[in-house]
Amino acid sequence: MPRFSPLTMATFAIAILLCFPILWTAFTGFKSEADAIAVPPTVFVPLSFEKYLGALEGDYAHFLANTLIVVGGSVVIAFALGLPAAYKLAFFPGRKSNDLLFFALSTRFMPGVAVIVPIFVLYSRLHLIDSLFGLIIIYTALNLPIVLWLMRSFFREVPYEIVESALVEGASHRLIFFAVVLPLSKGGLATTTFLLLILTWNEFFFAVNLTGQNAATLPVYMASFLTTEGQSWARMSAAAVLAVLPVLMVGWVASRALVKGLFAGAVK
Amino acid sequence: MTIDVMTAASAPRKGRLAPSRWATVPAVAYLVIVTQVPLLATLYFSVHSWNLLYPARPMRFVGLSNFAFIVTDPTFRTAIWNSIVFTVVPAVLSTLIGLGLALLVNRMRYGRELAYSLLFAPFLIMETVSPIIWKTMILNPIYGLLNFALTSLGLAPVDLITTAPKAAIIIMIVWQWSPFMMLILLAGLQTVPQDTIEASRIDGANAWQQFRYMVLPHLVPFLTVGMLIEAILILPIFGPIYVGTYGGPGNQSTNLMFSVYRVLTEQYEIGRAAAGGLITAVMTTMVALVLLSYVRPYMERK
Repeated sequence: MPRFSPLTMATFAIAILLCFPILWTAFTGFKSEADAIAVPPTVFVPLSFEKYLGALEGDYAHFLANTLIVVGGSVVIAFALGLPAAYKLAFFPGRKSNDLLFFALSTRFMPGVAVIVPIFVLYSRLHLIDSLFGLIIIYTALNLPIVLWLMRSFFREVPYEIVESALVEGASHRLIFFAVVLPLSKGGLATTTFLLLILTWNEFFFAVNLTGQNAATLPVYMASFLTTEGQSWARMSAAAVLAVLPVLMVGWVASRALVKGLFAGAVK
Repeated sequence: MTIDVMTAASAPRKGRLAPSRWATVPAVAYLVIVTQVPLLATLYFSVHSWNLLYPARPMRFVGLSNFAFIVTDPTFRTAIWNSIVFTVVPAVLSTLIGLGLALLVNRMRYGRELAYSLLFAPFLIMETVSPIIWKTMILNPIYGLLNFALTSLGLAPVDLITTAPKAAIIIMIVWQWSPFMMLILLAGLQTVPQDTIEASRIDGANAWQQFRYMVLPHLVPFLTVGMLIEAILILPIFGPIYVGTYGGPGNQSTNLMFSVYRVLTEQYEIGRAAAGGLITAVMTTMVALVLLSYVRPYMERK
């Protein structure tokens, strides 16, 4: 057992304090509705999984499925479009490569509100409002710049000499990409996937503008919870925890990789 | 992704072996069609008057009057001002808190991973869930924990959501974004050479002097880039306002993002919504240009 310095103890105290709203919410989900809003706050009360199981039963599964489809679809398409470009930018950058990268970044930094109006109008005309496909189109565009930037920098970890010698031996770019570069970049691929999962899972602005009862994702569902079930704190807490848990787990599992990924190239 | 700007495509390699230029075309074409075409359409709509509720009335060119409306309308004026407040105040506060957290975590020898994971958690929470948590569990004037803490201390309970909605929103944003700054500054702290710190310590520098003259200069680029990126991402913040206060009471806690949302989905005023969207884009672009001018020299040196 290592001896913890006062500073370490203080850091943990702060960490738990900052996490307390989340921990308290998770705890509230185990309480009965009466205990959830008791004043003063209750700690030693009967706890059960009832609210968590109940939250899973309602519409939750529907909105969870929507979220999974939208996240999965947009991540896969973004990789399909972005990986070949990242490969070229990493190993064969041309004079315009910087411009391309900054163009991609600028689209990602563009606030959604700058493009929502025509998309809303067009989607209304094309009956894409409240469709999963409509949301996938947008999320793919949000994911693509991240694929370009991150995968480019991960591909650059692969020595150019490997790619070059394979080319000289007569291998096609397709073969090199699938047989050499991609297998060597598995960690980077995972990191990028995790980051995209987190960002698209949580996206709210486009989702609330472009979806209704049918295609709503979990963030939209949670936003409606406060108005429809704002009185049932225990149930609401359980649903909230279930909605954020997948991302927390991905984030925690990947936190080391995320740090590395977010700063690929910076720490060297 | 972000700091990587500094190592953006450097020396071009041999062109003869390069794959065809078609490798980048699908990605670029996709981004142009899904982001740039709508942006141009927003520009077009912003100088027209058009309401989807009245399909019989044709779209009409109105010049800059949508913009004139936005800069004179009391709600939109509040929204513009709040957009600035909700960006600058949280950016500064989360930087200070993030710096403190990064320094603490960086000094830990045991349990660093666990502390980091806990501290990073708020950033991973959905932007509609964190306002729910704050609005109910913590800030609710009757059942909330803050009220319990205040009354236990013999103080009067407060109802931040109705009496100080802007403070409530700032608290939510700072809570969510401090971990982001911590992450950036932790990466910055890794660039501080440990041997010079050690040398300065042997030479008798105290903790403050070490921080001020050894650590801080290394952190300046990370602080600058981190704050600018955060500003770009926080300016169009939406969830805390939608869920936390719905822009109220009245319109006092609305921002541009939220006002445009209401004009679009409640009044179907396409022209005004487009103009409001463009003004938001101009504001973030100005921050982005500052960011770019800051990182360019790093790139070109490479």
